[in-house]
Amino acid sequence: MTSLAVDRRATLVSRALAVMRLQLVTNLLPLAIPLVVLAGSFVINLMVFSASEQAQAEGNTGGVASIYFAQLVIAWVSVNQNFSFTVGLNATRRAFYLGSVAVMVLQSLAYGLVLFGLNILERVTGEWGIGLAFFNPAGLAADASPRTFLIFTVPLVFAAVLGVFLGAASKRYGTRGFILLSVAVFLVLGLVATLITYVDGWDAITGWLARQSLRAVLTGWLLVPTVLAGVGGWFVLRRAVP
Amino acid sequence: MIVAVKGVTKRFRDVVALDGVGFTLRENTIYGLLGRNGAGKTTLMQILTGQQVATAGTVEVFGERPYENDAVLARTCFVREAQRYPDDYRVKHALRAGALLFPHWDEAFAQSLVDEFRLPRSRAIKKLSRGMLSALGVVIGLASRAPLTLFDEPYLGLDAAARQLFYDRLLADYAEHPRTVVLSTHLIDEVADLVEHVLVIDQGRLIVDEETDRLRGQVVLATGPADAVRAFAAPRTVLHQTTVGPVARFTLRGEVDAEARAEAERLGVTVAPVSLQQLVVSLTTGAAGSATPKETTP
Repeated sequence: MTSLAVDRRATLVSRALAVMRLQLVTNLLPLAIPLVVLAGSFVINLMVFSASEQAQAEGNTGGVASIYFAQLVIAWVSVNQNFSFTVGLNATRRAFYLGSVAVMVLQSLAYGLVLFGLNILERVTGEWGIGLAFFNPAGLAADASPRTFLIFTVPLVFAAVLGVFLGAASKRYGTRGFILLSVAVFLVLGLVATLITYVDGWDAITGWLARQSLRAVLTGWLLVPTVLAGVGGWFVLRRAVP
Repeated sequence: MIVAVKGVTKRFRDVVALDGVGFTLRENTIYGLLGRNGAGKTTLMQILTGQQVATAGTVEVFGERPYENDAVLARTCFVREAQRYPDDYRVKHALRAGALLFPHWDEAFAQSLVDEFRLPRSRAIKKLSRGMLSALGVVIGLASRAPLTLFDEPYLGLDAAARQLFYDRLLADYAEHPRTVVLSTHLIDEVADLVEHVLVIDQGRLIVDEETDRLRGQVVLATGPADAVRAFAAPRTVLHQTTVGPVARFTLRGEVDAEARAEAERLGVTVAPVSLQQLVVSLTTGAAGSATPKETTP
């Protein structure tokens, strides 16, 4: 039965590729939405900075965060919309999940490159001539190093995978179950926070965080919840019914 | 044999949707999966295609377990009455998706079906009428040419002409590209000439698994003087009976051969075949909880 096993591996890859292509079947607009959102945020910031000297003096803006939220929402909606159709037409959940995560990760890499390019352009143009450090959030991305690329990209991957996880959870548990689940998560987090307060643990935690640089958190530690969400999303989705 | 189902039971909390169902499906045959609403037909098809998992029992499709099996599911197409499409899909997008997902997809066939069913290619799917939505499902199911194709009540909202078109195209394409088709339907008489083998599910149990032609011969309607009909019915199973004054009408299950016909003639009992639909109705009429067919009427 070895030939069958080989055959199946090829089929999983080909099915996941079909799922990826299927997500591009309508047009590229859904994939471009985070860029459109980012462009909107950028234009608003440009207007504010040209009008306000105070803003120029401060030079900083969190406007680039918009693309991360958009990425999360797009991944969520995409899983929610495509699961019933794709798995209903007999793609396996595994192929669907692999294909969906792959599309979102590739998209995150592409957006990371775009942000990286705009970051360079921003420095070349003297912060768009008006001191708007839009693509240099919190001064974290001040050079054209691979680290700058990672600073943009790793959180994008995280947002995408978290979105896939949320999409999987809303499919598996339905709207009501999903809301109950969210309430339960908040309760547990609240309980954990209470416990930490009870054992006077906050100093230790904030101390640990202070010892990590923000860069290390964004490029390194963020991969931990990313992997957790990615693996968790699969376990949630594998028993979902289309 | 491409499907083998053994002792499949499916429970949802306290509801038993399927109860020890077992059967096999042969290659290149059209099956009718019949039964009333809520009998368990959709659940059974979901289990065959790995979309649901049985609580107990085994399912083999193409010799393997279908759940999460890419090799098996790529050769299987399941068109549901309530097939969902992404919100931004137009008809043409669904066809492209079909071409991507089904290795045996025939694009030219799909396009000709779209024309015949008069489907507007650029219309958003969520703006299609119920009939058009069903037609789109039919197009995907037929053009997929999947070696195992399952249609779950594919005709909702389809007018008579479109249903006839579906049956005609299914038969014609089946003749050229034989495959196994499972058709779940309520419109039994419409598909009676189409299905070669009948499976009837009632309250989660498989109560008929028979060639259509043999099944037809097995159930008859006997009409005549009440005593005579009762005598004729004695060695057979009575599925349904009504007695009006001195005249009785019994629906009977059991082979009626030449000898039996001669006996019926001697007794003055008229023996007539029943339609497939009447047959299924008499087999599946009964209150919830009564697993056996109704034997008496007031």
